[in-house]
Amino acid sequence: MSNFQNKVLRLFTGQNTNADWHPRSGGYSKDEVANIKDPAAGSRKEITSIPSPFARIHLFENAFEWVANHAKTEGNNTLTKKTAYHQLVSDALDVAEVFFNFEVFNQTQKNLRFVVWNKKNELANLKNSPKHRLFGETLELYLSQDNVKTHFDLVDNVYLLFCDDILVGGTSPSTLFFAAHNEGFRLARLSLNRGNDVFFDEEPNPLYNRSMALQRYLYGLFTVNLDLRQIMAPLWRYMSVSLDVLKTVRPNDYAAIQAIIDNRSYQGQFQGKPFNAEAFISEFSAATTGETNAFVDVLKNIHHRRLKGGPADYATDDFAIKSIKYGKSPCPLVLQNNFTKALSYCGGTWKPDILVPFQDPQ
Amino acid sequence: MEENHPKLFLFCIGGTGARVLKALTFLLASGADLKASKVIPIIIDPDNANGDMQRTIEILKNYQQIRSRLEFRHNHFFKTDIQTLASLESADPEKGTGMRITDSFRFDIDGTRDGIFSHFIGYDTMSATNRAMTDALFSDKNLALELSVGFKGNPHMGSVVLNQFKDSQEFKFFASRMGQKDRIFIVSSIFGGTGAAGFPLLVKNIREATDKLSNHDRLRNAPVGAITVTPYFGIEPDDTIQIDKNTFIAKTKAALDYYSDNLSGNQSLNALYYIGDLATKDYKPAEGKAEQMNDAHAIEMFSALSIFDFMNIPESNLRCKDGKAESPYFKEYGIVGDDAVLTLQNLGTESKRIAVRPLTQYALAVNFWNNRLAQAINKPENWARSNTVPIKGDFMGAEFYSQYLARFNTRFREWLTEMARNNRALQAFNIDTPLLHTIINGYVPKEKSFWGGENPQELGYDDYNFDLNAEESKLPALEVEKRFMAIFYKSTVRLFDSRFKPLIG
Repeated sequence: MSNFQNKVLRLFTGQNTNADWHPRSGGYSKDEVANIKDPAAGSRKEITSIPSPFARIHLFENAFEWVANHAKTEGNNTLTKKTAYHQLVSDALDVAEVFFNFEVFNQTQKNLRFVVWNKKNELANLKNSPKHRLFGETLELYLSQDNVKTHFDLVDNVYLLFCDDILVGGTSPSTLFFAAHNEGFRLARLSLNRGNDVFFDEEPNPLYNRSMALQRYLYGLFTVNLDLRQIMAPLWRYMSVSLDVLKTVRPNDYAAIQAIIDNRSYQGQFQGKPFNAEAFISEFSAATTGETNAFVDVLKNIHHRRLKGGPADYATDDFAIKSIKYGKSPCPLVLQNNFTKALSYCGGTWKPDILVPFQDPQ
Repeated sequence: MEENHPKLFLFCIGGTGARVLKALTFLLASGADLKASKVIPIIIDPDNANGDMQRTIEILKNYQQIRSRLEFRHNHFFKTDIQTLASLESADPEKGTGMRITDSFRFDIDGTRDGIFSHFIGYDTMSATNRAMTDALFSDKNLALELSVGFKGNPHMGSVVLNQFKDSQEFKFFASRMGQKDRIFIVSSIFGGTGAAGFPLLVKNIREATDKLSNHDRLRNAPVGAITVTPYFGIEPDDTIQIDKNTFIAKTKAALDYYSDNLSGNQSLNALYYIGDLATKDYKPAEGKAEQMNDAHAIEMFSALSIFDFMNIPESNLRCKDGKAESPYFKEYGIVGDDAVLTLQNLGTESKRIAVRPLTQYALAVNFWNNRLAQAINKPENWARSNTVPIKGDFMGAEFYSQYLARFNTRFREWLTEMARNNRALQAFNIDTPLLHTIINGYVPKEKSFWGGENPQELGYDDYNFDLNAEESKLPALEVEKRFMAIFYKSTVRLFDSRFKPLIG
């Protein structure tokens, strides 16, 4: 025998208290679990180990939390890493973008539609059918018991979004959105994009790099509905870390967001006025599924919102005509083929190979 | 008296469940003292040809066969009753349930031997809305998975498929047979598909037991303990199969996280035991079926000890109200000395108290039966010649010894050998040594020499036969198998006391 020191048989290093079976103060805590060294962390393999039929929902909770915690311990520049978790976070944010820009995408013939899974009705449908009863009862068991962290009890519906009849993602009571399975980045073939950010591809895009409109919406949503910071803690944790990075890369944009969070002031037509629910509702219209008054809900009493009308923030594009006379928004953009300067364009960066048609078909 | 102890319904899920059950069976065979009047193992594993499960079931059946021929006033080997669930049906038809339960240790879960997951859930005939939701939760690969080999590390699918058991006759029968003080213990691994899903599912169904189930209130508030075994072995990476050691830790973390919110975090368990190890040994990967048969590991034996611990907890400390444990326990396991090769000396005081004497006694018995029994019967030694009930030349060829006991002991030796070559190893015994004082690996009893130093306090077959003779002459007339076992039990008590007692303090 090497020595007489006790050694507790577990996966993480901790206090080596006693030999034999001995009590500890509680179950393994989240911090202890996080401390278990994972040799595969940073790999891109899909992790499918949560023992619930709603594993996919929980997976996104874990992803947002992991990325946020990783940034806190390893530094904020880790938000652009390409681990499996970063990919999941990016895919969920891509779903957020598609929800948010629903009207714009439909105008560009992307054929988006919603399928609303109503908890009560659909579980009843499953349970009333002998072939589907077990599946329905299992879903119901987990929905009713597992709502300590994932507040299934606070939602009536899950809103699933399809593009060209392919499932893209849906709403989640803990991370706002989750993405559909994206093996081999197959969803990238849908060519949903924003500027040169192709959604669901192998280049994950963190929140702070995305459009300011989306960011204003998200931080605004979590300010007007403060409870969301608790209810959707995994997402809020990530949003806080992303904001820290925004501060260093685009201080002006950061200031605008921080103003929202502080309820101080608001840009655009409410410049100088306090940010509040009214301002929020004014900027973003309530999202619907396409059916009249069928809103897309965040939680039972909170509607999702989306960009009103056209892409309002293109006014900040470098290509926009800066006209004092032309008071309307959006301003037309002056685009030129083979233009080589990397100016900001539609929330992304102009690339020389973007083709400018001589005539807009619309 | 055993009759006053509660029954233990022991759910063993997946390969790990089967292996821990095997370790428990050997401990019970050696006479380790479990405070249970009866152990009812219920093996849940849809992977029907699982090698580990088949080995364990064979050992359990042997155990029962051996035990049925013994008495326990003089002998404590095999003293704990192990029975199938079906055996709890009352012989009196008036008091019976009328249910027809398969007399087996394994829950037969229907529908998982053939077909693919999507058919199982009726995907093709779902409404478009439900299909959309299903697509959100399960990938194309998941939907196409063949169920005959388990869930290949996909417990989110296991959570659906395994939920069948709650509708089974067996589960309903089990619920009806729970006595007031009876306890439930669940053994599973947190990695892999069956254990990770089956464990929380079983707990949820017990704690959620609706009034559709008879006895539901008793079930809802029953004392439930569980051990969740975290990784302690790995698998060589292989691109062609879907299990991958590299993701074991990630999977474990994901599941532990889930448990902290939805299992330990919400007081569903009265006692939760955790065990795992960073030292790992790579195995050739297998996709289930008979290939999935891993070497026995010390962790499984330590896991089996958690069952002893659970049954030792006083009833008053295991109370529940409205399906929630009033004061849940959380426990971990420690050894003494972080050695890559363990011996019995690395066990803590309590573990030694439970396991060392019984296992050593049984090892001594197996040693003699293997190396000296034929000779002793042929000679014959006094104890074999006996004035009361002789043990004759045909004893070793008869059914009790050759069909049951010898086979059981082959498995026992195999268990010891496998643990000894694993990583971390447990080299408990030198099982065949004629120098019996060295049978416990790493421990040699000493006596003071004339010159003031210390010498090994030797032990040989002459000493053994002496003790056998002494005990035999004190025993009343019993059938030969009963007597045989009692003679060996009592003499190994003497042998242990004479040499090895200092080891357990």
